[in-house]
Amino acid sequence: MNANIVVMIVTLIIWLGVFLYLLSLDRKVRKLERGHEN
Amino acid sequence: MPSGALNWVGSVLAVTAKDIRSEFRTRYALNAILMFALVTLTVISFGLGLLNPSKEILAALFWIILFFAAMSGLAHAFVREEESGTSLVLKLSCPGTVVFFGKMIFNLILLGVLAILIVPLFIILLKIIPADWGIFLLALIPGIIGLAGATTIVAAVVSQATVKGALFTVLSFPVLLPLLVAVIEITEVAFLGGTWAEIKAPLQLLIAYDVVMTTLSVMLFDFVWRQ
Amino acid sequence: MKMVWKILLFLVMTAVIIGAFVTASPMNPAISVGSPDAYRIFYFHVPQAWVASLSFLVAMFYSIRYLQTRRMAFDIRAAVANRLGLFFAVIATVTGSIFAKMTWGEFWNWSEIREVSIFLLMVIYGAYFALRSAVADPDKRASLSAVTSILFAMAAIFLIFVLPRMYAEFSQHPSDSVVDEEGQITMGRTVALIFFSSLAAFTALYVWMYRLTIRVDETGHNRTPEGD
Repeated sequence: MNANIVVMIVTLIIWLGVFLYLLSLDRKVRKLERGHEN
Repeated sequence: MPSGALNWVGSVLAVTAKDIRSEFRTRYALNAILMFALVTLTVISFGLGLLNPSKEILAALFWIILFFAAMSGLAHAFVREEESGTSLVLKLSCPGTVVFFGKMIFNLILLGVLAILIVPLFIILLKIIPADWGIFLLALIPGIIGLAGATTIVAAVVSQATVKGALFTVLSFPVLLPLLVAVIEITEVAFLGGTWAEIKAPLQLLIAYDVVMTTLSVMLFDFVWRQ
Repeated sequence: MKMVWKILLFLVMTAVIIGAFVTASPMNPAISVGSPDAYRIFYFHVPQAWVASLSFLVAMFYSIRYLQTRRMAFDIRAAVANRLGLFFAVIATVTGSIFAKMTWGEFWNWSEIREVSIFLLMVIYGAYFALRSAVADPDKRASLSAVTSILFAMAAIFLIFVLPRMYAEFSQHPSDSVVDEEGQITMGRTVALIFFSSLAAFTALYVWMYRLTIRVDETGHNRTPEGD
């Protein structure tokens, strides 16, 4: 049971990293796209 | 209209004849293919030495030799046009399907010559005689047709790229894999001596592959040829 | 994607991860090969493989659209779908290998049809990018890679018919954790809930990554004068 929780926490950290990375990429692209219109 | 169809066949054969003539001047493709086949065959029979490989393994080896030999030379039909700068003339003078079938028949002839030479050598060097020649020919002939059809379009694609040799093998492998699997299955039966019922499924697949892949290649050829 | 969807995706995926590890293992311990806990990877591995195959179909679709219209936007879509497909295929292979090691004792096994299939999927993706890197002119690259993509797809359809016969005797994929002998789905309610939520979450994640990559590529293209 303990090992399960450890793996769960590692997976959650990976998922959080992936999610935050995508979010920041999304924001950067939006900024770039706005830059093109000006 | 019969005269139109006759014309069409005539121009296809004209493209093939032109390729055969220029092939005879340099003998590049033929030499490459035959030498490659010979070298692989020798390496394999040396490597196997005193080992006694099973007939299933020999069936796979036979097609591996044929596959790699084909890879060494079949791209040449299109690469030559690009390198000598004659592809533009060919594009202007005849429709895409004529060029495609002309080149495909040329490749088919190359593979035919290869098979005529390699089959006896294979039988002698690896000490195997197909138990059923009929089944063996049913693997060999549709196999060569499929090999020629699928590689002709890949050769057309590759001739437009910058690194031709390696790319041809890389792109051909996934396209030819179903053909190889089916053809090796039939050859195994031919070597072991089996019933016709055993080859029914792979043979159906092989013939379907030949028809579908050749048709698809003809349809896609214009997209590659007319840039 | 709107912000609401991103938050929803985050919550669902987080719930799936927690659910996958705190609920009982999807494998019946009585018939399990290896630790039943290893079978929890099924909640992530199967959706990854599904997304990798989906991506192959998307790439196929946009390759055909490109040849019909010759619009660069479709070429970008096909290339992006292939890139993400390769990414998910690699992840699915890694998770599958870990599972194989935990239960069957080896990372790789050529007699397993699904391992062979995903390997071929990766070979196809690899060949596609080898071709793309070998052609400099964008229009030429677009039509050549579209043609090759369609040829590969046709070959893949043939392989679907060829491979199962070759491997009929060998397959050891744990299909009994999802389907029993009569072909009935025997997932319990909790297992089904987590599994299908995971499938939905991975598909949503794929859509997000797909759109984002296209936007990255298109803003890159707009900087050059011939951008579409």
